[in-house]
Amino acid sequence: MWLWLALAGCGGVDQDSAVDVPPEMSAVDLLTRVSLDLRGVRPSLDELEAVEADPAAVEGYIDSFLQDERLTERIVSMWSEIYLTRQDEFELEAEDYGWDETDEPAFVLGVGEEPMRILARVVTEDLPYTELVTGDWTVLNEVVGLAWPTDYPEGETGNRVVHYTDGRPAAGVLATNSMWWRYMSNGTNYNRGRANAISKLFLCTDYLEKSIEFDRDVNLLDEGAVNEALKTNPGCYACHASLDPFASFLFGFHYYDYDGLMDISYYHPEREFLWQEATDLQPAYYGEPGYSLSDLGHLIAADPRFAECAVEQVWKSFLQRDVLLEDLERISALRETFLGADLKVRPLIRAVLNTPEYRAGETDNAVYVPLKMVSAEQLGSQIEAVTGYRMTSEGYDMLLNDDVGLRTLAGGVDGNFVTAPARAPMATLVLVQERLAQAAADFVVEQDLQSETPTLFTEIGFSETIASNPDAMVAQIQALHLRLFGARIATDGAEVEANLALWTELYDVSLSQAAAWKGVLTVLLRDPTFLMY
Amino acid sequence: MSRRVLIPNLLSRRSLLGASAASVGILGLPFRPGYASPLAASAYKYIFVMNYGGWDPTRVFANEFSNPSVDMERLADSVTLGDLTYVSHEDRPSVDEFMHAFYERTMFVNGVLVPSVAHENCLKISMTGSTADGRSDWPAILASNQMSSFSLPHVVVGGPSYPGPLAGVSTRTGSSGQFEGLLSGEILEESDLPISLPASDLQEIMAHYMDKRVAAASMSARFAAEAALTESYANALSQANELKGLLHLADWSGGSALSDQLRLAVDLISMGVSRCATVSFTPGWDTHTANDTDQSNNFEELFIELLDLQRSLEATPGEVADSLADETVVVVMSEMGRTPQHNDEKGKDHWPYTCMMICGPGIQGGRVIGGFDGLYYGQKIDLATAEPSDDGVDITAASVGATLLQLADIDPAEFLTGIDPITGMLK
Repeated sequence: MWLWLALAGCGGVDQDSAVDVPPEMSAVDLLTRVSLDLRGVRPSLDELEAVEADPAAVEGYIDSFLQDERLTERIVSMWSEIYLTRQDEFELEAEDYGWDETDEPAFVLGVGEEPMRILARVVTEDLPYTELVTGDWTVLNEVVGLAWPTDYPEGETGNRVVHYTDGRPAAGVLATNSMWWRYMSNGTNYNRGRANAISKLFLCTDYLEKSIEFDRDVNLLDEGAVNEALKTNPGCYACHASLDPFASFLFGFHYYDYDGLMDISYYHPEREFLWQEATDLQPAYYGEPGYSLSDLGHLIAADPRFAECAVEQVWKSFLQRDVLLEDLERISALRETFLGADLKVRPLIRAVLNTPEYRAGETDNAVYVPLKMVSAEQLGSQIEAVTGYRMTSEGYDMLLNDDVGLRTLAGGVDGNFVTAPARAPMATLVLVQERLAQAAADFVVEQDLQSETPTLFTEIGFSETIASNPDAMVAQIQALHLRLFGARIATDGAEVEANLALWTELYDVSLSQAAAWKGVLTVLLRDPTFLMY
Repeated sequence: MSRRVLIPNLLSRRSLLGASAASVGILGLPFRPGYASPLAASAYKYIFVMNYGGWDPTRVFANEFSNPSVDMERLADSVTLGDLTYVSHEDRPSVDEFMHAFYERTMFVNGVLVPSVAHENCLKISMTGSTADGRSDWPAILASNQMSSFSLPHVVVGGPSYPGPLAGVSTRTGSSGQFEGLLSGEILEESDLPISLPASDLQEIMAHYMDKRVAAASMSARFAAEAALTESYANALSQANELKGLLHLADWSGGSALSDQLRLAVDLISMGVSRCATVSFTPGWDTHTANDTDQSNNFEELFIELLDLQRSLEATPGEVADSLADETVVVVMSEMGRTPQHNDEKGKDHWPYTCMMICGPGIQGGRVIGGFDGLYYGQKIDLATAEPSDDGVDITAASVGATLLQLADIDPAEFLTGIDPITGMLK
């Protein structure tokens, strides 16, 4: 939030004229970047060819990608690194609700993704961003929707818009079980940690960033003295004056039994007034009194910091870097765009995608982002898009889980201890990439061997060799580079030469065309450029 | 109880480095084998043992028999060895055995302030010095200081890890043997769609190709960001290849028992794979009921393993010193302490002052620093001497962390604003 304070003193400098703006990346590179960001996959051949023929066509594709249904999963993925609710386990399991053990993967995802799926609907249906904290609906899959008190229809499946039926106030993500299962509050914390989570996630203000002053004159063994200090001691009061009334809104989610099915699955209107016993501080939002969680949602929605925080989060998510002082003017403009679009998020995303920081080509200026690294999920989704292979174990997506999977080893976030994704390759990511590449190459070659409409191996059968049909071999390698990297390589170029040499070496050892092609595809999927965009 | 002591493999990087250093010594250059002089800070390794749940320091570390505010344990007594006084009890013979064997290299840091009473907050504070997101924990910072020298600079065998911006530094071995499966490739065979690995000779051909390809990519970088990413990739690939070579030299799958975790930690450190390791011990420290029995049992169990750990380190050759014990700093901690008095259920609740035990080179062993006042709050100390001082400052998790960084010759100011190390803790 320092950003906005600083902005207040800023003049109206045109940022683009104040610094040397680097050239834009090529239209094909931009197409690839936007496609990976908004759809999680690389562009199709048709899309590549269209943009190669007419670079201006990239703008139309960006608009269409913003309407792509895969944007939902990208929003879920990107904001899972902010909300940190997508954990591997919760206090209750699918079996506690009578589901089978095999339903646990869907249960864990359904719980962990609830807040992000609400946001994703707000984004993809062009609802005002305020709906995030004021809506009377949620989005759940069948395992969680039927476990919790919602109107999820029996017999249906998949993520659906549903409503809680236990009388909880309409407050969007603030009234979700997921949020408060992730951000539990113990007996004496009285929801302060939860209030700070709200402040951090939706106002970009983290009370815990401030140093905690500990006054030795307060007797910690005397609960009354502690409570008095929180109201009167300057070292405590500075934060608790606003934090504690904020926390008082949340007592409907007060739990007595942290793994009690009824206790933590249901909202408890009868507990809303427990603040009287806990802190005796009436619910209020920075001095403005309220009564229900619904009031809190509306008060947050009306706070300018709410929209400002959204702009910061979109900016950071798409640039993969923190906000810099040099960004002030840019973000101010983006905020105006957001407000001018009635707080619809897609126009804001489009505006971010239009900025020179996002579109920068070759430059050493750290303000601009000419290259990014794919996330663990993007690595998985782009491999799936080109080969059809997705790695799962015991029903868990291996790139979305750490209990049995490889999420943090691939640079992902576990929501608990690892709260920031890797932004540069490390040994374990390289190992994950290698194993994924080996599996995906094996999978797609075996599929294409038996298919009349092959996925990747469109230029050859698997009986040709370099000796029998060199032109087809070269064409196949060119086709792989185009599909995987969007790169047209020359027939007599170094890439073709190196790949053919590798193919020959593998074939000489294995005497198998399929094994040789699996090897070539494996190294292409392991290429460093496959991680970067 | 016996511990398998892994002798460093002759081909490991550390052994090679050691051999090179020895060769230099033979040539008359200023290298002295053994631990005749203080080690360079760069030679220190670290094992963090997190006892999550909140231990009761009055069972071992806090000699508060004369403090009327504190419920001490019946039949317990204080024992002093050198300048180190600890709490002894017949139910905890391993504590006595540990102290008698290793008190000279052991320091207690008592009255460490972790200004919260929520487990999650305290855990983060004790490991990073702050509740704020985006801070890296001590082992990650220590490991990052020599990142390119280790394949797994910080290995998290168990317990918390807050890599923060140093995301590539810390690696979990996985709760179900994923890391081993990744190294061996067996993870492909165990997935829902089992896939066989390519034959090993084909894998070698591909590996050779990858080495050349990645080197070429590094050479052709066009701008700074591309150069940084491709260089990182090249390093990561090299480290990954090294790790595969270590597959059968350590028991990666291990188990969750502290003994198993520590064995892997020692193996990886001795082989030069890791500089830092984090393990955890969670037998049920959060004793809101039955505090005395449970805490006593937990400490006895803990010190059995710590005793074994020190003996294992002593029996393992160091990189430059005689033994790994001379190079390895073991930091034993719990995210919070417990109230000085029992509650109605004979338990003790959360308390924002805790203790730490540090064992190893570079610190002033055989000494207790800090302590508690009449309200069982931490005493202030003078940072330069680590002696009690009314004009001094609180011992905080952050100041202890800053001291660990200082010990490794890392400027704490690079990571912690306004936090000074307790230089009086260091030799």
